[in-house]
Amino acid sequence: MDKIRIALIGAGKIAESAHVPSILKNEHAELVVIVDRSSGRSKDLINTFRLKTAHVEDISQYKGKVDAAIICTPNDTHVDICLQCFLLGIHVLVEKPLSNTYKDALLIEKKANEANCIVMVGYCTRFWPSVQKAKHLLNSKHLGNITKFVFQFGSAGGWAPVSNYILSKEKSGGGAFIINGSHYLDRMIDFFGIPSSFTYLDDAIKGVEANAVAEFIYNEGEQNFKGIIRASKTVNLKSGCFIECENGTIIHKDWEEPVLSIKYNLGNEVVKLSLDSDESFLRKRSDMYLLQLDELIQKIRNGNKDTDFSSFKDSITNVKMTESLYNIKKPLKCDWYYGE
Amino acid sequence: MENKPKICIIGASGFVGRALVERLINKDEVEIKAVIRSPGNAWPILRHGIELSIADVNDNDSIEKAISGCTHVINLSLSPLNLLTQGLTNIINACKKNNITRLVHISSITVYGDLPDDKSKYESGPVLAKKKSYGWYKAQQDKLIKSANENGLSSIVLCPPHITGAYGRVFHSVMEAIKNNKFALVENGKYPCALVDVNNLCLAIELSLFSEKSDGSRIFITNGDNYTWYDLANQFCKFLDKEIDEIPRITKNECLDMKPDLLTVKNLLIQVIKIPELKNLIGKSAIFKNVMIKNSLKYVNNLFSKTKHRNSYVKSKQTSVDLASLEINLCKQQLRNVNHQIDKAKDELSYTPIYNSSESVEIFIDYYSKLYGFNSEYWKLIND
Repeated sequence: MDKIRIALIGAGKIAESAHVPSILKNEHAELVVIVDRSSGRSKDLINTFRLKTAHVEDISQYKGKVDAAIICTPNDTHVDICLQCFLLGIHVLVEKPLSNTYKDALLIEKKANEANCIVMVGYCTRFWPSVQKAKHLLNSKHLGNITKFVFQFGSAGGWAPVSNYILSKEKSGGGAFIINGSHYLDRMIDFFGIPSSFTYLDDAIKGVEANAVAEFIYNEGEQNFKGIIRASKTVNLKSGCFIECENGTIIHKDWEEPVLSIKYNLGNEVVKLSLDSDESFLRKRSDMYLLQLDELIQKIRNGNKDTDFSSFKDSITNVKMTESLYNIKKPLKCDWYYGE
Repeated sequence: MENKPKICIIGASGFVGRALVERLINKDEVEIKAVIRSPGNAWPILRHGIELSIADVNDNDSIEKAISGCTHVINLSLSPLNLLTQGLTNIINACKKNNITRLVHISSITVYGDLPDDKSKYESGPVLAKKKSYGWYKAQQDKLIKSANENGLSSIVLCPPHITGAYGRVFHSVMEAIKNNKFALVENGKYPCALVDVNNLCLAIELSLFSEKSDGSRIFITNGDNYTWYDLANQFCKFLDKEIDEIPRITKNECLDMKPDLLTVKNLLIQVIKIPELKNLIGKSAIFKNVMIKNSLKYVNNLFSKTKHRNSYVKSKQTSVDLASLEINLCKQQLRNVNHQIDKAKDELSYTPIYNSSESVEIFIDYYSKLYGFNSEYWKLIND
């Protein structure tokens, strides 16, 4: 079977650390061209990975020569680049978020449908087998009904994109909640669906938030619980998903070493059970970018359908919900400085 | 207002920098230019939506460009130890070229060494920092500033102890150590705990910008109180719902005897990785850009960073405290039995602290509660 020919649009940090390695590792994919306004960055990548790949400044030069593009450019450019790709008949995997506005997300959906192109959004953490396992445990009510959840990520700084786009609110669309909270919002939507109501606090004044907390209430049908998503770019938080259920807690520790564990409540006793012994679950756990690319290739070969792993609809919902949260924002008062 | 002073804050995204930006941003009398090295750490000030300049103090051109158009410069930059003096030299040269009215630089009480002399109650005390230590490099920087001042660049050097308040690292360390039973009081915590709230330091910086006198030598800036290590532990114990009597006690001699483990291959490797020149070289080399090598190095580094320095002593003879379980640095710091006086700051800068040490802890607790969710209804779920 022919390899899927891939264009990498945007030669920044995520391209270097995640997408190029995953393409190179995938036997069904071939990196055909790197597209970036800066030829210097493209050359850097080519040298670093010793690639024999071409580099251009505009994807239109590769019409008919690539099947899919991975778009990892600043957030505000996603919509235009997606539309350009659709005109060229190119499927896309876009780094999250899909777009900075819900209106743009709907436009991307419309144009993708018209061009019969596949769109996937880079919510890569869904692909951790441990996350899938957690979802199965929740769906099967292994620990009974959910009572509370905390999803959080916090780091003191870190992740400086090559283009410095995070310095501009217009380019990034937001701060900590977009950059990190967005992954957790995706998992929340994936695990629990759409919440009944929500509140949102962040510390942005005229720029982008460095700290954000959103609270969500689920009280429709069988659901009756609430939880928070906390995202910080100024403090180190225990990162992961903590889901309290009637009979125990599901804990998914994220990023460096994704590990799923369950804490059972047995009477007054608490028993911790690690799922690490489950070999099928362990097998591919660190290859989320590779699995994400597999999914794109599967979709291209077998037709454009949402799967357990990815949902374009959920990605659009994510943009819509983020926009709604920002719209109801209340200040997270960080008045520790004299004169603030 | 015409001819408004324009203040260049180098290192604006750091712990002090962000507090200073918060302090000066709404002042009509001044304009600020926030200079950062990398946007990765700029988050605390990005929330204000102000324009940021990116410059590296070790790159002459970029720092000259950053300072251009400013009237005053505050140096809050941090560099690897071996680059500290070069970075400051670049800043001084750029200040001279741009006819800067005043340079304010931050030193550290560590210049007086780990066991400071009684005379370092005042700024003129002897510099006892060990060669190539952080304090020693800071002392070298202070000499550069003194010389620059003598050569016509009006400069002030502020010399703080541990800087505290929201985001204060020392408070984080003490709190974590108390939580994890790794904190002990030396001589019942009777020695002074020299602190300065970040707000007090920012006030001193602001006063330094426009003070009449500037001799280019150090000025102590502290909270100006008689706070002790016992007071600090007691305040955190209350916050953590722990009894102060649960905190182990050790003697001064036991503390003096505490040493890191004997040299092992593992510790040697840790030390080698920490050598700034090597770290710098690895960071810049093409080999590090190879993702596989980069990830391998990251793995090794993570592995080692999880290994804590241990004590060669197991039990204290006097108190049966397991010394090996304690955070050595937090014990050793308690031996700095000097209460640095702020008379010079009062005289020359008209400095009066805004917050005392106890209030600084309260600010930290508020910050910790808000950003970590401490004691919220979700806290137990994350931390049990």
